[in-house]
Amino acid sequence: MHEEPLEVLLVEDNPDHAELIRRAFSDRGSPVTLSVARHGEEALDFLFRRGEYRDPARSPRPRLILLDLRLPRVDGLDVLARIKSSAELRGIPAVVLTTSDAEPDVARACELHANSYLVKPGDFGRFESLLGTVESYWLALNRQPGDGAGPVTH
Amino acid sequence: MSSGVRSLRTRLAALLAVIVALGLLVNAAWLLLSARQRLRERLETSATLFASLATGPICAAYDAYADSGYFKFRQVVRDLLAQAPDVARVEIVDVEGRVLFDSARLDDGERPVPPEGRLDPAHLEAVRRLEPTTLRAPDAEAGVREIVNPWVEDWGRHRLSVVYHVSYAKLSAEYQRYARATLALTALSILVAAVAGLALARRLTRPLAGLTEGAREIAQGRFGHRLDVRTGDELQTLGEAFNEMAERLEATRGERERLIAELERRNAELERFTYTVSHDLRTPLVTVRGFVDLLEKDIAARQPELVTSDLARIRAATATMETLLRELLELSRVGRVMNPPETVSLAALALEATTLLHGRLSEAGVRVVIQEDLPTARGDRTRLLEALQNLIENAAKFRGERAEPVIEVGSRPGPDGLVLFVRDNGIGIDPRYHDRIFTLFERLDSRVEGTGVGLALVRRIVEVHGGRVWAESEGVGKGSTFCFTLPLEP
Repeated sequence: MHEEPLEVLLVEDNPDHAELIRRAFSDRGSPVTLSVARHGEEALDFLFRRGEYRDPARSPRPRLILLDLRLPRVDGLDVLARIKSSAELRGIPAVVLTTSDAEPDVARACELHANSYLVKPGDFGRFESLLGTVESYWLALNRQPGDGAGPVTH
Repeated sequence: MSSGVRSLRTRLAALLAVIVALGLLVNAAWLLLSARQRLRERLETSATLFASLATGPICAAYDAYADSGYFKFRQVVRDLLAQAPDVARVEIVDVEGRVLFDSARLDDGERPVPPEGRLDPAHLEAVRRLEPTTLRAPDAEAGVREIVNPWVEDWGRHRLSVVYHVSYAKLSAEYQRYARATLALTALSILVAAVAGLALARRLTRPLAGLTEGAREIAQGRFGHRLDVRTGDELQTLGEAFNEMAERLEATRGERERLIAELERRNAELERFTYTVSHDLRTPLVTVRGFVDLLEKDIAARQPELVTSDLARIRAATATMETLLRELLELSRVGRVMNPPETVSLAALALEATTLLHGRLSEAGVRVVIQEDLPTARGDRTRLLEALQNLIENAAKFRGERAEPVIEVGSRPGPDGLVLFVRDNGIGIDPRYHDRIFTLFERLDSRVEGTGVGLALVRRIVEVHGGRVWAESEGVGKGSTFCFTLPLEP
């Protein structure tokens, strides 16, 4: 279906959840390359190419950011605020993917211009289909600047 | 005092002035009336005396000089009248009622000019009497009396009488002078009384104005306002009661504000607690459910390695949940369930905590050094042990890759007394996160086991004891010091 890998940055502190998401993509045979940041600071280092991610080869620009909210060091909402206040990064779709369905979190994420707010489902089947929907919507259907003319169907 | 309310001061002053004025006016009226009476009596007495003394010489002179040497008679009359300024006019009348001489016409000629007409019956009767008679002048101007005095000759013959016209004109002038002076003095006294009354009223009511102003200040919520009433009377007592009330109100408001702030803090804490719990309790649940499904797939795909890892993840997640629930329960108990405070030796407590953690500490090769002369604190022994245990466990957990990890429990002087600390030579903390680490579920590194409850629990325990807890670290790799204060025993 896809020929070239699609860069996705996953900001997730829980290694089990990161593994679930990785499996959900790989079990569907998605051409997604997942970079995982384990806390907010690492995510910002990756996006702003600092510290160990200074080398652009190590920190490719993602086509999608999957962001958990409650993160060590720098909170997910702070990461979101930093992304959306950066002229270079704000065009990248940032989808909040979290276990929290608390109203203040939804409201805050919305205020900070999250492109979407998704709650992690319980069972793996629904996880898989949710990520499938994310992939087909944000990575296949959604057009981004620099995608070139015509539908991106690869 | 605001408009619309008639001030007590004005009313008091007005009342005083009215009372004084009334008194003074009554007094003045009485003075004037009695003076008038006295003056008249004096005048009448002297006129009567004059009449009784002058009648003889006048009539004798008339008899002797009326027909010849009139100028002499005239001189006698003039001299006599000059003696009595209040006697305006003298008439000589015979007992038949004929007027023989009238001093009003003294200068009309060289002879006495008898006036026209005769006396009326009342005068005639008076003229014929042998005693002096006083009459009110019938048609003369008001304030004139007539004294009729008979001239009884040496041998007892009564032929002539003299009518003296007594005028009150001079008396009136004197009386008016006296009245003017009296009234002026009275008016002055009333004015002085009014001014004095106003001053007195002001003096009496000034503390009231202060009280009113104070009450307004209080009503507007400025409870710091105090009154300074030093009148030494009931007003001072009132002022003191007022100050006491203001003090109570201030204290009450302070207490209320403190309670509100405390309530707001608790509310914010509870709110945060609710939605961090929603996230952190669901996290292992998502792991378990997700990997149970994956486990099924991996069994079907016959991938034993993946099955093993799936099972390990499920097991770890359920253990995390259990720890989380236990710690949350523990956290909710702090401050709610307290043991009675007792004197606790912190050195003994640190030793006990180390003994409890012995297994994990020796496994990690951590050495714990406890300062021997640690002070004694007062508080809930079980909770304090828990706090120390958490701090030592935390220090051991973040020991890093150091060959000789050491944890030191000690004390050092601080600005507000002794500061207790648990110091390690581990991985240290970035200064940016020194405050955040005490927040519930806040973790700096997801690779190190833990739930993010431990330090929140430590903070809760220390704060419940009235102390403060904070972290010090020069940075990553330079070790950390967790400091706290407690109510210490001397």
